[in-house]
Amino acid sequence: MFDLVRYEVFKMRRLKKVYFCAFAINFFPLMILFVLTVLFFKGMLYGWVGISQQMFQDEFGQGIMGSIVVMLSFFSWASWFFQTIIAGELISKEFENKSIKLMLLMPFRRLTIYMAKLVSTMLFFAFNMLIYLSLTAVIGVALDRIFGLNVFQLIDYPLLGKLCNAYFVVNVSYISLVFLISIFAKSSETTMAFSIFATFALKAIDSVIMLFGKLNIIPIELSNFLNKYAYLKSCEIINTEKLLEVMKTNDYTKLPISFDMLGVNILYSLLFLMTGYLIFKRKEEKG
Amino acid sequence: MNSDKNRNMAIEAENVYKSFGEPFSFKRILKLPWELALRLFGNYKKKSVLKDLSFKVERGSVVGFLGPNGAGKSTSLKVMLNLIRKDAGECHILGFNTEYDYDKSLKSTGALVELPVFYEFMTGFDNLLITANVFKHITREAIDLSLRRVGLFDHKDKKVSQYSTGMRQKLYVAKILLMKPKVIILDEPTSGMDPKGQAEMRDIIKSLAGEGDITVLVSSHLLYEIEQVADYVVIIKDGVVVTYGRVADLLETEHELYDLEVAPEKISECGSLLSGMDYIIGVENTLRGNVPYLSLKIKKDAAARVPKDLVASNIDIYNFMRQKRSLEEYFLEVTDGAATGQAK
Repeated sequence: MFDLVRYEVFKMRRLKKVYFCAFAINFFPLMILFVLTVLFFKGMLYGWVGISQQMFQDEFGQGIMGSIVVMLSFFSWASWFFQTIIAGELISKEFENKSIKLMLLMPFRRLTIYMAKLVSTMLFFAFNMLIYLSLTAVIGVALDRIFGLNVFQLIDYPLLGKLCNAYFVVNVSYISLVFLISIFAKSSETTMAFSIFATFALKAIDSVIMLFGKLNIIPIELSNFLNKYAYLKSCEIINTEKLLEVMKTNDYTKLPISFDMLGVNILYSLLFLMTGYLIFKRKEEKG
Repeated sequence: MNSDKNRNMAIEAENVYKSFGEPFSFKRILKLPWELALRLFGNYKKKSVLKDLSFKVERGSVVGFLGPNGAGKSTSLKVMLNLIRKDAGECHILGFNTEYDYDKSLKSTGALVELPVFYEFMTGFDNLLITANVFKHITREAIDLSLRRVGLFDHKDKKVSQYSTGMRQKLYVAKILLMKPKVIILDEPTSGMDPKGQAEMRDIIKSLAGEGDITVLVSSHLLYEIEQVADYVVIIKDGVVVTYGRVADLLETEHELYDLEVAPEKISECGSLLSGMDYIIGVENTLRGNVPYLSLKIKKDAAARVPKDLVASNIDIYNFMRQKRSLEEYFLEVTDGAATGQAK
């Protein structure tokens, strides 16, 4: 499979869209991180929106670590959004222009081809995460040197590793859903559109289940159970409410990673991947 | 499994069946709701494309795969390469089942099915270089050599999207050559090519055939080309093999055809004389341009007697030439005059 992953990576390196996506994934969250941190710490926005440095610290925690946690979450969503394009290029578009035939005629099983596409997309995510964290570190030093914000020392590296790991798992589940969609979709654009639609649809289903529970249309216990194990809920492997508490106390060692949600998330990933593979396997090259 | 029984066979198809239904679409289902029920309950009528297709190809041979429009040529090739699923039957390449061991069966197989596809955003060179990730023996030098062989070296840095159909065909052949396969399957390799390109492709196929143990299965609607390069032909019609055999044997007939030209004033005398001979099956007066000549159907190995008898009767011979039956004539005979070409 390693050979096929290299094959996919070679292809991605020649694809302009990949560079655009990598730029977008890293640039936008970093710009927001940089601008917000500087503006809030310097109290520049106080007069504009009535938010003081203290209020910002209360909300997002002291130091750049709080910003990193928030921005990693943003990064994860940005990655999901732009990776739909990559998945669309690697699967939907290849079926559309029949270039998938080039891989199907190679001496590899369908599962190997499918997994190679998945692994190379995940490598793209990991590579972006690496760039992102490196750039964040550079920005941290810049904040220290230029603006005198000595916040870089507050970064808890083992915790950061734990966070990255958690977001990586969540990303696998995003990608597995996007892969499933891309097998049906006819172009990378359709894959992106359907992925966004699917996310909102799943969110809507979550809300409807909660609403039905509150209105006693379905038993509240069932509503709670379904809501707890809903797909999007399982992606919140870091409990947001507890995270905000942690940020206020600035004790990031107690970061609430929800391992039961992580388990549910992994189950969803497997379900999406297996369904996607079964369809991929049976999908015929159209004459 | 790669059994001893199959050791000498490069390609085998046994009792292969394949049928197609109308492609599933929501628009169609909305128009014809009962189709959904038929699809669900398995009573959906499908069009049979391959019906009991069976043939074998020996290792090291060049085989022409022929058939009229819609005979199922491309479908057969796709089924053999496991690009589409078959309903029943078995296909083997180099002894490996193409359904269960297709990774092994495709290891030594280079195939061009219908129009060649590439990654359009890459250059011609990169489209070949990408395969080096999988086939380790491929080097940059080998790619250059392969591109030179098909005459695309000067265009190697152009994006494939700028290539013509003929150039794409050549690039695909260059890719197949790089892979060093033992079995090569080519579906209409000269389609979209100019006469020069067709001749070059024919030369490449001929040279491949000369490279030892390589088996080539080539489907083409250009029967003259197949006649030039193939040792064997498989002719299919309506999804069934109607003829399979060595080209020379298939074109062999029980009688021999000859054209005879004599002095115009002697032509009727000559006709009457030859009609009375026991080795002559038929004599026909014909015109080639404005020149009258006789078309003779002669018993096998008796042609040498014609000049002797004519000289004995004092008739001068201007021209006496054997007419070989062409593959096209044979094809039209066995397919009842159906036109050749790619399946729609």
